[in-house]
Amino acid sequence: MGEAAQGELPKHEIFSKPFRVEPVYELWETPSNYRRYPGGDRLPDKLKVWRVQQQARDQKTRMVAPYGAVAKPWKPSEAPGTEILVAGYNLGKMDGAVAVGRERNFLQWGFSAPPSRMTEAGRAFFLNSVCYIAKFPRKGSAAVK
Amino acid sequence: MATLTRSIGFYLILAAGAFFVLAASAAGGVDTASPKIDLRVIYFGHPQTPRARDFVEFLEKHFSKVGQGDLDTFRESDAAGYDVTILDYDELKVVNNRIQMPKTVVSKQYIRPTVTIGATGALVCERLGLQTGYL
Repeated sequence: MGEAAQGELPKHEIFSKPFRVEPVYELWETPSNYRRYPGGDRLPDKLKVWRVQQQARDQKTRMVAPYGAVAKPWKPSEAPGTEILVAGYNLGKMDGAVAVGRERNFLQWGFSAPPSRMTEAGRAFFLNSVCYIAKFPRKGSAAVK
Repeated sequence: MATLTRSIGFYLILAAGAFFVLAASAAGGVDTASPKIDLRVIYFGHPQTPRARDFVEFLEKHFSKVGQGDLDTFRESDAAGYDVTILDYDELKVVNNRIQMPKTVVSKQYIRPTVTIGATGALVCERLGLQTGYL
């Protein structure tokens, strides 16, 4: 997992409540690993991203320690109680891999940096994520998947 | 006349206040001067590490109540009394090609709103069979 979210912000309250998330968009090279997956050959040379964090990069592994994680993209319409919130720019998996997503009462924040290493937009997004998941307590043990 | 002057002064102050509020909002980002968010948040991580301190200090600036604990000894009951639980750790080590992390036990009956962070969080989600699990 890299240091940026990929794509423009979708319309969702998590990007505006209580803090407005204002990404600074950049164009980064399309990672070569994306080309290995179906449809990867049709991607443009550069992709629109916005930095969530700024950690020192390990040039040897091209990973950011402590490591973040992405999840395999899924179709929220086929998985009730889930949401894909942002994709993560990554150097190992496919285009569209999920950096921040929710299922039930769990919100996975795939980025790895502590707040002092997040960008202003990243900090606002993180705080909003904490506020947003507070709306999803599960009701009793009957909610077992 | 004095009443009129006071009224104009009052509205000028009101307008200036509104301007600053709008300006702050338009600027976006995190406003540390804003009142604390009325949520009780507890952070479980690797205690006494710079990372844990970083998170807790940041959370304390923004939320009305912030607790902290050790992910290694996390029990679901520890999250009682809080609105949101955060599960995080420090850098994970890979030994014999296996990722080493605290044996965090979260059952499928767990009901607390929770933010899981980074690779540790993805492994917790994976154990629970969530879509957000490690790819």
